[in-house]
Amino acid sequence: MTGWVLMSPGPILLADVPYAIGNFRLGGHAWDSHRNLLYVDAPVTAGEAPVMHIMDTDNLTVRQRIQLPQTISGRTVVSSDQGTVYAASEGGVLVLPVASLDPVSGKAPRVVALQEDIVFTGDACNRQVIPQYVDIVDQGGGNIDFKLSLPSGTTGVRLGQTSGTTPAHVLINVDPTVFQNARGTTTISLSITSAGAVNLPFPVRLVINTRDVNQTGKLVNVPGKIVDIVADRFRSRVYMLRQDKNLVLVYDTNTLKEVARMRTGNTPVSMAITDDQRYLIVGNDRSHLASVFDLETFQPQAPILFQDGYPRSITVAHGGIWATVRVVTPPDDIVCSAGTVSNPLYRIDFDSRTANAPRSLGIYCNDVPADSALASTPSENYVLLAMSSGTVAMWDAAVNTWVVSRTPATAAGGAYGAFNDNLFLVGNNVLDQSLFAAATLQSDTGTSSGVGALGGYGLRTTTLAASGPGTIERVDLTTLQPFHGRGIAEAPVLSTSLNTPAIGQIGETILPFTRSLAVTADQQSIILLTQSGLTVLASNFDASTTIPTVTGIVNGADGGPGIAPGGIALVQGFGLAPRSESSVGLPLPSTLGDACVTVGNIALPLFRVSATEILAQLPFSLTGDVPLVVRNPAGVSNPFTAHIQSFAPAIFRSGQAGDQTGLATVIRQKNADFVDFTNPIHPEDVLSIYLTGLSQTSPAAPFGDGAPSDPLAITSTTPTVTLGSSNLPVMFSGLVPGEVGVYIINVFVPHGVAGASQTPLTIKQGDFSTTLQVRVVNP
Amino acid sequence: MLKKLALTALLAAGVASAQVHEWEVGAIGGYGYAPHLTVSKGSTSADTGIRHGGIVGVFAGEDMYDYWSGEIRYLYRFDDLKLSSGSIKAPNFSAHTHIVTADFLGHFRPRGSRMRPFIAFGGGAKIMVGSGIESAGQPLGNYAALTATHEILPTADVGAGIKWDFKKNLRFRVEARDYISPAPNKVIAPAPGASLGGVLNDIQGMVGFSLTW
Repeated sequence: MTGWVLMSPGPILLADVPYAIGNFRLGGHAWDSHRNLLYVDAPVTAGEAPVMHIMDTDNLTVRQRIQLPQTISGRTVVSSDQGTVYAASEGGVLVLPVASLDPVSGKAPRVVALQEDIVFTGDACNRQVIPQYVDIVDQGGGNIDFKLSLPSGTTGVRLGQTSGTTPAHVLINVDPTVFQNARGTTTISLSITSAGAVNLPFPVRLVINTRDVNQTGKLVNVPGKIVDIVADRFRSRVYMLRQDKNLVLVYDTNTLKEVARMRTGNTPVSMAITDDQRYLIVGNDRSHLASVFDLETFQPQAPILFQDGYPRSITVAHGGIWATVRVVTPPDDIVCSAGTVSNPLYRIDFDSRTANAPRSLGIYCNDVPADSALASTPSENYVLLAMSSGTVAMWDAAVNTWVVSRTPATAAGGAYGAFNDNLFLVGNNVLDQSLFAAATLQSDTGTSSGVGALGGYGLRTTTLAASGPGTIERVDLTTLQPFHGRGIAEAPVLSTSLNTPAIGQIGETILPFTRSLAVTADQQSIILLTQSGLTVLASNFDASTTIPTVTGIVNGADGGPGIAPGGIALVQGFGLAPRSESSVGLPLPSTLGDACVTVGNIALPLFRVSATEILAQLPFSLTGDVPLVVRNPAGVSNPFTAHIQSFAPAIFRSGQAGDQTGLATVIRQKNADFVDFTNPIHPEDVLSIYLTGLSQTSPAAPFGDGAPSDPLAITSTTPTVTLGSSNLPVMFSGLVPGEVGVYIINVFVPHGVAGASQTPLTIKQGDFSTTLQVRVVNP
Repeated sequence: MLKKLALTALLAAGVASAQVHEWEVGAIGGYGYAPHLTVSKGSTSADTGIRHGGIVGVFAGEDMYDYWSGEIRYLYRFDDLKLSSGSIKAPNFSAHTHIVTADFLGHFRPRGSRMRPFIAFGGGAKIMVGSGIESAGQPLGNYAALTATHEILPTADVGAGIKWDFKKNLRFRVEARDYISPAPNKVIAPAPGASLGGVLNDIQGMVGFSLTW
């Protein structure tokens, strides 16, 4: 570490501390080799409240921010036992017991929230107050004060408590009616302060979505500042850049779960995949190195050195890899008519892992502002260069030179990319291969954000406001007219929405151009970078829909007619949801596949939806005859009367063993296998029976979310279980922790049970029962 | 004759006799061959039964008459269960059988002869014990379930052999027996709609050594 710059032998600039004032009389740093951490006080402005940043030593990722009593102003050293930092400060010597800040064993009081984002999802069916919780803890393990606050003037959000002592499980209620006019996602920063803590806690982002039923897409929360997305052409993955944590997040496009993360340099800006689809290159705006990762192993490879500056936007085409650079020391041999060029474009030699600026771009001057953006055509035959000044240029791989440069607009920003080899989009302008403006797409739906191609059509996303809905539309590549525009659940990211006030010295570099649309390798899904993370659309997002019709409702366990509060129910009909979709994670959403369901005006948490079936959890609070309504973008179904019983025990038939499916979920604990004819019940067996419809529990379980594990949610009315004429003692009856609407009954099989190949196993609760025929062997 | 047979049976059942006769106690072992049973379901079927396997056991007897004697014996049969249909086979399912019988032996030569061919017949019980690991979705479970339980089956046996007194008080024998019992229905339980009939033959070839006095 030299000054505010992390160097490696060479010397090569690995990373620099963002926003450091550069006054070497202020601030200081110390290297904790024991914990592999840096303690950095690098003032941004003279006279500011002193803050020490605890950073990772490879890329200066900020882990924590610690309040200092004085600004460090000189030499800073770590004691030999790595337990204390001594620093010359404005008032003398500052002694920092850094051992107490150890991420694992440190006892210093540090208040943090366990969640980065708290998601509140309202929709056309759900206008009730949405409760969620945030957990405030002391990383030092103690009990320390804290205060929570919302921006002044915030309405519709009510905190269960605004102050308290750690650990605390704080209720946050959001009234979606306050936000429903937004029809998108409102983000609110929940600030945490503590008088007794030594750290400055990071705020929590409250994400409140109030989509309308005619808005499409599945929301997947991804915390942090996500600035770029790239789909893998052959693997079922997308790669996202999380700039505030210097990470590439790898998500499986089938499960929509994170499968890996890779550490980039400081302040990553853009990504590109090499021609052979083997490596991922990441441009970092606070490092002279572009990171390289092996996509088979997710391991970092030798990086690419940019001796003159910081790489930003990178693109790969056949035979050429190009990068825009924030140049610090420009090469002196690039001269244009206006004089020496200060910020040229660079070409990467991947084999030698170096980058150099060509003297010219074909016949054009190599003068490319650092906020420009690069994109390749899907065929990788051409490269588009877009500048915020409105100038665009094109590199032709076939002739290995820049063949066109033009300025069709006075300024540019927003979406940039290629529909194909002949048509490009920059902002709302469609450019032909000569980079003339061939058409200007409508701007009624706002600023463009993402561009792509699917099934012979172009795709474009736009939005009017970050908190509003987004729009996705196809573009006819012959007429150059957009069509089949559909609202999306939340707005795609814009450069304006990504530009947020910096938190400490966490780097932020937002280009005026955005890449926020990726089509999965199987061409079945469109993944958008949106306000709260990802919005996933089906490739047929614009398929026509019909008004839903409900024909029946049965329990979701054995398909019987009995349904009960808190149980899982299967709504049957046709035209229910425009597309099939399953929920990802908990809590369950109340809108899925662009459909939602209410029972007695309560929105149901949804497991999965299709045109003919919707699997959902019923409210704990309703019994009797209640109206059931399904909504989708085409309209609202006629009310269907659902009869909710007090109890309706029903054993799931979801077991699979060998080539058998549909087995009842009765498990012998002895061999952890389903009971069936070849795995009969024996005396002294303990059976676990998984079922639904056992109604209320104590304590009450959250609606649509996982059941608690401590304490366990026990059924308020204990069922009786009989096997033939034998009564089976019930050892436990309650909800399965972490599951929604799934109950478990554990019973013991006594010695006296009679053997038979068909013996009735009956579960009875109140006046309602279910019976299953099982084989019993005795002895 | 019937009276004699009845007396011999009493002896074979272990009832002590006051008469003085030649006694024999020995050990026996060999190998058993069990033809498969057929479990039928509709027009289809599967083969089941016990696997061929080794046998060990002990016996005791008394030569009460010149040509007739009685024996009791215990055999332990290693006989894992099997179930197959075409190329599909259920996994090996551990099992064994205890066989206890009382037999009459009719000799072709009188007492005192060194070589005594004989025929044997009798009855008793088999205790079939399934000790394998049960599992759901067992292959061919639509025909039958191999089950971890035990089952007592009445057993008849017939056989023939030869005894050889090769030394004083020492006897060697070679024999073959078929232990015949009804098909089991607990250890090998036919699935609903399936039927398992017939008899379970277990043809055993054995050799034995015994002490006589």
